[in-house]
Formats: sequence, C-alpha cells, structure tokens
Amino acid sequence: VTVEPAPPAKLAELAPLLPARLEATPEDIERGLAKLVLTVIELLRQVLEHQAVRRMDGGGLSDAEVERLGLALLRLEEKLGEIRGAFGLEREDLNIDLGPLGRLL
Amino acid sequence: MGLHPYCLVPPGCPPPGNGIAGARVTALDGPELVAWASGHDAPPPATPENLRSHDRVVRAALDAGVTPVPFRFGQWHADAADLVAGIVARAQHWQQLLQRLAGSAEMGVRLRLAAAPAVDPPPAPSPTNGEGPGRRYLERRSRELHAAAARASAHQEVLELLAGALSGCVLQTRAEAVPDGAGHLGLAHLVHRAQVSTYGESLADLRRRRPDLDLLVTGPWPPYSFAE
Repeated sequence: VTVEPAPPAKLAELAPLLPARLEATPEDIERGLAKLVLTVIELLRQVLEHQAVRRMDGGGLSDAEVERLGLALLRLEEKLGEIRGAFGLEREDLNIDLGPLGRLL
Repeated sequence: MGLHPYCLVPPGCPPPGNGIAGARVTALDGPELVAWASGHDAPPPATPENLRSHDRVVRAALDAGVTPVPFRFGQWHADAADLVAGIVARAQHWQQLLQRLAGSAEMGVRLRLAAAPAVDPPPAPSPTNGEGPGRRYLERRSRELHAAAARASAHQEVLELLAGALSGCVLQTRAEAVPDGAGHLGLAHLVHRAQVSTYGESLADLRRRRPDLDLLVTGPWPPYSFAE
C-alpha cells in the first residue's frame, strides 16, 4: 500500500478544523494529545451517525441493520465519554469550528 | 514580575491610571503601535472583578475615541521584552487590524425565536421492530438532528432578515449558536461608531415589523469578537 502525502493545500484546509492549541507542557501533554485525537474521533463519529440516520430515515436499512448500527454508535458514544472522563475533558472541550458548517458540537 | 496585557492602541493614546488589582497600566511601545499592560507577581485569576477591570481598561481607549485591538483576558508575558517580542513577531498583522478596526465598535445581539421552528418529522418508526436500544438511539438522534436542522434554517432566515435591515451600517458580522439549549443565536456586529444610532434605529424598526423576534441588543463594546 502506498500512502501519498497530502498536498500542502489540503493540509492548509484541514489545519483550521483542529484545536488551535495543543497543551504541550510536560504535565499536560497527554491531555492535550487526547483532546486532539478525541476531537478527530468525535468528528468521524458524527459523520457516521449522520450517515446512519440518513439511511435509516430513507428506508435503506433493514431492521437488523438499524439495530446493529444504532447499538454500535451508542456504544461508541459511551466509550468516548469514558475516555473523555479519564482525561478530565468535557464534551465541549472537543468543539471545533467547521467554518461554513458551523461548530462540531 | 510578569505582565498582563489589555490591548493595543495607536501611538499617542495615554493609558488610564489603574488596571487589575489597582496595578498601574503602562504603555509599551511597539512598531507603530502601543501595548497597554500592568505588572503582577502571577497571572491574575479570571474573577468577575478582574474581568471587569480588564474591560474597564480596554474601554478607556474606546471612551477616548480610539478603537483598540483588545486582548482576551488570560494572556501573560514574563516581562516587557517578552510582550514586545510577541507583538513585533506579528507587527504587520496587528497594524492592519488596528487600521481595520479604527473608528468602529462592537454591538451584540442575542436573538431568540419566540416560537420553536417547525420540524420536518422524521419517518415513522418501523412497526415490526421498534424496541431495541440501537433503534431507539438512532431514532432519538434522528429527532434531534431534524430539530437542529429546523433551528439552523430558522436562524438562517433571521440572519438574512437582519442583514437586510442593517445593510449599510454593519461592517462585519459574526454569528454563533449559543450552547444554552434554548436555541439562542449570538451575533456580534462591527459598526462604525458614527452609525451606532442608525444601527439601533434599524433594529427598533425591525422589532416593530417582526414582534415575534426576541432581540436583546448590547453595546457599544470594544471589538473583542473581531480582534483575531
């Protein structure tokens, strides 16, 4: 598998979406990194959730698929809440500005 | 002793006497601009009293007829050299910002829709299997997403209405949903100070035409929302 590096223009588009600051003091580095990683995961979780809801509302999923997807997303949300708690982060700490799409949370 | 910065102003604008905890506010010269700051043994905590003192110093510039570039509360520099070096590193940015904000002030509008926006109902749940926690979760999220979409659509309509009503006296707008669960929308308008009364009259006229809109207007403020 070959992974091509993202062109600078794409990185420039991505950069404003991420937290403006990473806490990089020795005491806070773990929390700062956790915040960054959890923000990205939360963004992906919401994309998946929107897609699942859209497909459910559109009748494109069987009952079993709705249950399985819903359960997976529910568990993911619970697990993310646990990890946030372990790092002393609130849900609002993962908020980012998505430009014309508004804010993540 | 470190420094708590308040704002940047053009050269020639004298600082007010005292700032946070009564500390003397001093003017530190940068390239074609001046920083107002006061010395403290440790970063001042964000207490209501200190926040008011910070705003009072920033507002003193506005009261003197100068629009400052305000710093958010909570910045801290080890000494004067550190503060000036930080400004010099982005001197062109700060000079352009001072120029862009010159003669303006910030007005705030907190807007609440008197009636909850109509929500397109999500499709009815499947009658065959509506009991599992997975389905219940997705159906709850579906309802929440539909309500959020309806709210965003209603906000957009009001934003366009406000833009029309205030055209000509607003230089720049920032809008953000207020995370209070009540569907409030917070707006910051950059207004030329000579136009502040026209701005107020335009909003009063809008209130008369649209009594269903609950508008709370505050200001003029230093342009905190436009300083970055």
